[in-house]
Amino acid sequence: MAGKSKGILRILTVVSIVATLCVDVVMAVSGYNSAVSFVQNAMGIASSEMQTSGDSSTGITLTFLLPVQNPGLLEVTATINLKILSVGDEVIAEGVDSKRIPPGSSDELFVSLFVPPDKVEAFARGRIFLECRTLFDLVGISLSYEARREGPTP
Amino acid sequence: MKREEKGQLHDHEEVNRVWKMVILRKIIKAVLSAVLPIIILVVVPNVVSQRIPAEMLPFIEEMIPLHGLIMSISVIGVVLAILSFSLNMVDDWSLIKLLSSIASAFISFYMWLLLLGLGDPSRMGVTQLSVEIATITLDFRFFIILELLLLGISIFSAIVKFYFARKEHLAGR
Repeated sequence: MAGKSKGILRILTVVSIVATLCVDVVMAVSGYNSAVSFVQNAMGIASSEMQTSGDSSTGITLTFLLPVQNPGLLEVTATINLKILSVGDEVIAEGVDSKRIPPGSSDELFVSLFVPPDKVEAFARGRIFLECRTLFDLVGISLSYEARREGPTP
Repeated sequence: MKREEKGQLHDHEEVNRVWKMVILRKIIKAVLSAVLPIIILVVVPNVVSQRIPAEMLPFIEEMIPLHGLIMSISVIGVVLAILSFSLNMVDDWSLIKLLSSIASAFISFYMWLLLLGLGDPSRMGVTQLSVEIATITLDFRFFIILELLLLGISIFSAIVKFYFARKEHLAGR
């Protein structure tokens, strides 16, 4: 009985130590991975420019190209969501792009939006949402950035 | 007869010496186990926070209640140190050991809730940091699930250890 209980206790101790170590490693690696890839790609938003074409009579086409990188150790899912909103928070146009980026590689996220001529006047602001998720998309960091439309219709 | 008495006295002294050694070893082990949480959760965070450049502090404080967070972590460190000391001082069959182990596991879990919520444990791993017109969201809910799993394993392990130790102790009596 004593031998049996000692065996159970030994197994329990090993399981407990292994589980603690595994959790610590998973938290450290995935936390680091999502943080470095997020910082790298969020910095890219500042250097990327939104291209606009067309006018209020034909409608406006907005294109956004964001180079994304994964300097981490695990695969990252990078997602960009671009929304054009009216004053009353109504979504006028929306575009999404998502890519899986293997560790140590880079890619591009591309979003193209079309604002129809009848909605151009209502166009008040744009919202950029960037998300970097890792560890089978279980852990992630996201950024939501809002920019008001400046001046008259582009 | 005298030689026998002398021998018994010598044996008694030897038992006393061994007993003292065992107690001393227990105290050293308990003190060492209590020092670790003090270093990791009290000394390190306070030293690191003092090394943050003064011009960066208002910016950090705008997003995270840094002072409160470090204070809470320090208090948790002291409590964990006391629990760790008591854990190593009592026998395995003692109810104090079981309660200390369970309390220690719950406090560790609370500490993770506090850390992952950046000072607010009610956030349950989802934290939003607002900086002017941008909002950064940290989604670490999966880490909370992992910590919950560890909490379960720790409590189960403490109960099983206590059960077998108690059984052995009662059988020995």
